[in-house]
Amino acid sequence: MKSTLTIGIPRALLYYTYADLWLNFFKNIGVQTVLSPETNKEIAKVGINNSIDEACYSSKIFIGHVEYLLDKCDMVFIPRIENSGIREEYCTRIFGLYDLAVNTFPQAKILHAEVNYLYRKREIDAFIQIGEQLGVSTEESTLAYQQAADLAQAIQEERILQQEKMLASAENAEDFKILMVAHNYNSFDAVIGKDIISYFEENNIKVAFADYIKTKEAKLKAKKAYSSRINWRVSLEMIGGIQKYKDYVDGLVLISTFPCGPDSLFSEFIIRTVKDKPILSLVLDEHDAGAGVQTRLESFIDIITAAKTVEEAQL
Amino acid sequence: MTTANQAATGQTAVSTAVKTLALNPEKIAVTPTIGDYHILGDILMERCLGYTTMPCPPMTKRTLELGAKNSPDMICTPFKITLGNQIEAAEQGANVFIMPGAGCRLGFYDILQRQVLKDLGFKVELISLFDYVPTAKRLFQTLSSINPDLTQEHFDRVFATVVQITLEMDKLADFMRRNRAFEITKGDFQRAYQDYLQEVIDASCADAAADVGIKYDKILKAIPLDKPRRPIRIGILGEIYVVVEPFSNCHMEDWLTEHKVEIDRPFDLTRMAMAINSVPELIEKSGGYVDYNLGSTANEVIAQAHSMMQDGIDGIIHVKPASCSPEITAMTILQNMSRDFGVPVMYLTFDTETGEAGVHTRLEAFLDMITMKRQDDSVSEVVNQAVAEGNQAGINQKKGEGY
Repeated sequence: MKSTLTIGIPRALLYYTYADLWLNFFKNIGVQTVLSPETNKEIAKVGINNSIDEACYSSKIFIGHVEYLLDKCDMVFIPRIENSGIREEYCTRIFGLYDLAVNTFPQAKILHAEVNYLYRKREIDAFIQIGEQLGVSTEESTLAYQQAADLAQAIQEERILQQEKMLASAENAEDFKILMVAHNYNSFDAVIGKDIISYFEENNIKVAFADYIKTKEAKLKAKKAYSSRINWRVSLEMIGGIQKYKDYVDGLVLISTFPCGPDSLFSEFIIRTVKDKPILSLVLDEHDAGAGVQTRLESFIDIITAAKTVEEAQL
Repeated sequence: MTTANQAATGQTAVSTAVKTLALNPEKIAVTPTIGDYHILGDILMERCLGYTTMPCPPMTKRTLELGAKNSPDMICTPFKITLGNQIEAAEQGANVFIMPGAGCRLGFYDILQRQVLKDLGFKVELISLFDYVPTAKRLFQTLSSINPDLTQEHFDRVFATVVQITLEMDKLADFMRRNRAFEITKGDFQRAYQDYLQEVIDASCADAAADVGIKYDKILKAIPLDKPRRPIRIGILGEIYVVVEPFSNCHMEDWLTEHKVEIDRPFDLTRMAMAINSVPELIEKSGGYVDYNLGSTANEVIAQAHSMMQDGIDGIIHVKPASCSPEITAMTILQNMSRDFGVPVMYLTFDTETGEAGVHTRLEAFLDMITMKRQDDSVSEVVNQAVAEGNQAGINQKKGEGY
């Protein structure tokens, strides 16, 4: 008997990494989903009110999305993902999300399963478990997962390919380009990075993303450039992406939310080691006013424009 | 223990069964201060690598300022303090630092600290003991890659000594914390414990360390006490560095001791080492509040809090450095637990700017509240009992009327 439940998916944190996989999986097994809208002031406010004030802004937003979904679906989907492979760990806030949500909203019904490659709990096993909870057979879940995973991978590869093309093509050689070094849940969130991206685009600056890189490739690059011990997936992708794309862009933009654990170390590390490109480091939190950010973006654009003029003059 | 100055004048440590290595005066190693555990780092450095060791310069306001100035803002406080330690020690001639290199953010400290110290112009070596995997095997790999002459057998002996000392130290310190507030002659416990540390560092093997431990166990237990039947008992839980290092928590334990509080602080290096490998058991012990690993020592905190609350503790103080993310997750859960069990929990966050007076004011308020709550509880116990008796009497009376 297939379940007639509606599953709510919060549009925050890991959603931005796994959107294609999750949505397609539920589509394939024929379960209805409801996705929370893009973050707005109201969602952010509810999240802030329901969180410990020292928690990071991105996780407060996540809590806001969960709250939004509570009365709009039967179960909220919060998988507990510790890592996506050996030495590809997520940060402790991300792997505490399930327990955080349960303890914040004791009345909530949460659909969950664990992914942890250290204990041989693979992604596919988690989705079979999810299927079981929804009354879907193992075979059907496996098939649905395979299709969704293949599709998600193809989409990601296409993104990477497009970005490589954009950066390398001679057509764009004259254009200014910047590399966005941020977790995808910050880059694409409507109250964090989205306005910053559109600001650059309005000013005819092409935006590339450091985390558009295959995790394996990022790992190799990070190991070669820094240390083999870096095992946070989100940081690996940022550092690997910088190594890969740095030479094609005019500047780096580091965006993180206050107080991000991995970023606190690696933003500083990037600033101290990448000496040949201008870097803008923005730390955002709930008290940010648009004007302050805009001033810093304007001055950064001035810097990269001036740097290029100087470079050309020297030639 | 050999200091840099002694090494310079040609004096080396007394050679004992394990201390077979001649100490190299060129390499001066410092373990950043974390409670009294730096002696463990010193033993490893002296006996496995033959490095001269130097005590870390005592922590002052300057240590914090130096650390904070050269660190990123958002990093957790132990990074800033240990960096301050390293800079001050490097100024005094140290050139080797040891860091654990495993844990949550702690595991990456040395990667950034190496860069910061290099940018400051210090030529120093940073040894990360565990390189991501906190096991004895990995420790041996790290040390033998630095000193190729180190044999497995020799390492095993040194490591067994270190483990034995850790166990004894933690056992004695726990006994001391529970009873120090009630000693009749002030300072008895501290004096005995400092003597113990002085003596145990020269223990040549695990058995010798155990003997020293037994000797001081007797001494500590013989200290005359004046302990009430039910003293106020406060638990301290939280992130390991701030729990263990008195300077970073504004000497909280000393203050509580002065105010006649029994401190229940089961969190130390022994427990930490056990916690890493027993997360599933800890989840079972957490009374259904947690289903998964929360990272770092957060599960240990939850399990400890649960057993303390069941035990009827008077109050719990949860401490953490600023921006410690596993502990922030734990706080949400502790809030629920505190509400369900009716045990007050105070949350303290320590950073480089935290002032001692502010912390003491909050401790005082917390202690007052707990004392009043206990009086209320005992009053309401009496009242409840009286009401129950009264009801019973009433029922009896009614029964009597019926007849």
